[in-house]
Amino acid sequence: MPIQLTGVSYRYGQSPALRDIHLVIPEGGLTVLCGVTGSGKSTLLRLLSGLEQPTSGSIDYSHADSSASVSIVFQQPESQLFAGSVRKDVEYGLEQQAVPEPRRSEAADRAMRQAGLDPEQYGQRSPFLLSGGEKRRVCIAGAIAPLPRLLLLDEPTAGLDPPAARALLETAAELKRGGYTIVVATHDLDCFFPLADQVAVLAQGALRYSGPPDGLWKGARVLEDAGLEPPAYIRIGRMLMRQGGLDALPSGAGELLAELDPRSLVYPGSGAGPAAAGGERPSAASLSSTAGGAATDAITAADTDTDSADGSGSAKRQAGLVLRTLDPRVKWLAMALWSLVLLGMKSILPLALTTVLVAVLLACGGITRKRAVWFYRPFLPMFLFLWLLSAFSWSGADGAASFAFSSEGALTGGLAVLRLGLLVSLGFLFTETTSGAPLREGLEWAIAPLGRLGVRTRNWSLAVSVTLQFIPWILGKISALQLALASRGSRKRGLARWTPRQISLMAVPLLLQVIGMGDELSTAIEARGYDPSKPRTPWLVLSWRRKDTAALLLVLLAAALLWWVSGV
Amino acid sequence: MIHASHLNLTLLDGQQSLTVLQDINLHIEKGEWVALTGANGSGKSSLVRTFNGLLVPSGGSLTAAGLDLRSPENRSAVKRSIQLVFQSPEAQTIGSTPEEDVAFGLENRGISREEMKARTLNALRRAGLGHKARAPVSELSGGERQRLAIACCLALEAEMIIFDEATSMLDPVSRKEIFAFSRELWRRGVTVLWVTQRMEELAAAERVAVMDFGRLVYDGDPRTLFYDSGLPAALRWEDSPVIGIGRKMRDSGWPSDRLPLTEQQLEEALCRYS
Repeated sequence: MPIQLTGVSYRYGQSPALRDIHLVIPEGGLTVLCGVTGSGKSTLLRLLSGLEQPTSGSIDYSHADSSASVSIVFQQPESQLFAGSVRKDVEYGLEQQAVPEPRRSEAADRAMRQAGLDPEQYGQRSPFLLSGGEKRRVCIAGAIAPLPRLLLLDEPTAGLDPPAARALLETAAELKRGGYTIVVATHDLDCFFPLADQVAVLAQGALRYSGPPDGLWKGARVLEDAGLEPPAYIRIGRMLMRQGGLDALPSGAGELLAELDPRSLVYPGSGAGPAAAGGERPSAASLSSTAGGAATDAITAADTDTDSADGSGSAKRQAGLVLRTLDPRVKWLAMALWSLVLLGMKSILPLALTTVLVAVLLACGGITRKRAVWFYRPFLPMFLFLWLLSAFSWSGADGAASFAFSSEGALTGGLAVLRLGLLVSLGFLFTETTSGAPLREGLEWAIAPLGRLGVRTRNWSLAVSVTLQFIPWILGKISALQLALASRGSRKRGLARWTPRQISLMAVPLLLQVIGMGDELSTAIEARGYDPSKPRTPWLVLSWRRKDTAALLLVLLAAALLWWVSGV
Repeated sequence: MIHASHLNLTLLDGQQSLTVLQDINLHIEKGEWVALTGANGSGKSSLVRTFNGLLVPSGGSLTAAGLDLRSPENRSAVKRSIQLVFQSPEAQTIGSTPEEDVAFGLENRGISREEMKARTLNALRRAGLGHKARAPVSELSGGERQRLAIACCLALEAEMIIFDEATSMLDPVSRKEIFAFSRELWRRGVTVLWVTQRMEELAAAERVAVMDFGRLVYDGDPRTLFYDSGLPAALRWEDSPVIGIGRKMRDSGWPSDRLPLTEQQLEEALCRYS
């Protein structure tokens, strides 16, 4: 039975990501989803996987168990490998579905083989130490182990070297022959079009074409209008047809070569082409003169349209300007002092007052709602979980285990969670209203006296400011890991995503990604010629103005007031 | 610009020593545009990292921008003239806005703040990011982040820019745009070393160097590489449609120097004679 999408739309906040998609995905076929970055490919994959629900419209899987039998492989393998060995990772999804032994290990063996991994050779190896192509295979093996009715692949060949990409393509072809229904979102049309039974072209969230690939070449410039280029074998095929060397467009590079009329390639002899003799220009010049012209145009065009999209946000930006232009030293002091006072708060009143203070500052800080939601969302379930944990008590005495709610526990726990939330909010407010350079200068100024004790203050201030900037990156990675875990059988929502088991599963891959990022960043810093022993020209010179003094007084006043209230 | 003779690089991996580069001889002159390729793990990235002093060769001689890189002072000084653009768009932005990011590379150069500002804005404008100088970097696309990395090189007035698979994580549109940008910089006098896995980019180069298992196995023009060296088969490269047709053309009697490398050359060749 095919999978049917009827009038599917999806919105991210206010902006529509997908609009009114009608599409049928044939069973046992391979559908290629293509479009430029931001056209809605990845969103559509997530809707198909059941990880997100359409804002309107419906997806009919024509099976009772619906989206439970859909597997998705994301673009970055680093964000979806969790277990200590390849075998355990492949078995993870089966374990979640409570598949008993020995069926579980049989299924894992079969999946590894289908994904091109020898279970004997790879089973016990750590997935984190494999090459990029092998990691992709582990992800695919994990995805097909539960025998999904639908397999979704997001950019499966991106970042692989050509032999690895080709091998992966063969695996995809093998899976298709094995009867899987596959949807691939990709930029690599040359590779995947020859395999496709159906192509769906997306542009700006709307479906521009769906049907067999050769239907694309018949009439209008569908691909070109969607910002894409037809595969090389089509471009060359068209050219050869104009020359009379080919009768019909090929369905792949191999067919192009096979069908080509050898008579059209006969060398006309040395006298025929005087223009080409000797004076041929270096090839790259010709390639880039066309592409280069277009790209430069694009760059200049982008450069001229200055801040045109900022109409509605300008008022908020204005409000945030005051906070943003404050001297970073005031903001550092505010954060440090208020955090200290916060830690000492035990009762409702001071915490409520601080909540009001933080809320007012967040509102004045020019932080968009979308940004705030994006920031707080990963924390909320954890906070709720911690709160519930403190509100319930578990007593296993007298042989009769009982589960009791304690209002006292709920109150103290709630206050502790609120305190934690406020600390996190202060950090969020600070980093949102202070960019890297002032943050670093302010800190360097504050810790400058330590320099006399031999502390390398410049290194420290750089490290802290870079780390603070990468908190959003880490949050992004956490949600990618959660999404991957959710896709692997345990479709947990809300609180269940923060159980100790889930957190421990995510710890290793997250840590490895953070270490990798740190390594790459420090290389980049070194490559730019950063040298703490040399004199330095600061980009920003701190200058204390009258409004900073006023702000300082307010900060101190607020801190004193809150401290006094929490002492009462 | 780069003169490497009998270059070796051995890295310690726990107790084992790992030979990464073996007897590399590579000379790149000022004003050249050279493509460097090889499978993942063949040593491309390690090689280019020795060129700007990030890695220290264990043997052989290496001169870059006229500096002997055996001395630590020169390894630090060479970063003034040779700059790298890395693969990951996220992992090379140090500032939180484009202008802070570009300025970061200038802070140890002993220039005045006025010059720093002027160079920063000028470099951002040249890279097409003038209008986003103060936008948070989190709002930049992958292609824009790579242009920002190029702006950093421009602000440092780099004589040579090494692109280490700088477009492999970008979509086709941004990939072509960055490639074209590198060609434009080259026409204005910057020496470019372009590390890539993409066949069409090799075919478009004047000179191609190929690495395999830490050795340099080819250094020359792309036409010889694709049609006469036998390397593509040995390295398990798949022919692009253009090269595939080119092989048939050779079988039909076309002389080697007329065989096409790009689609445009193929069209010109067939158009002219049909």
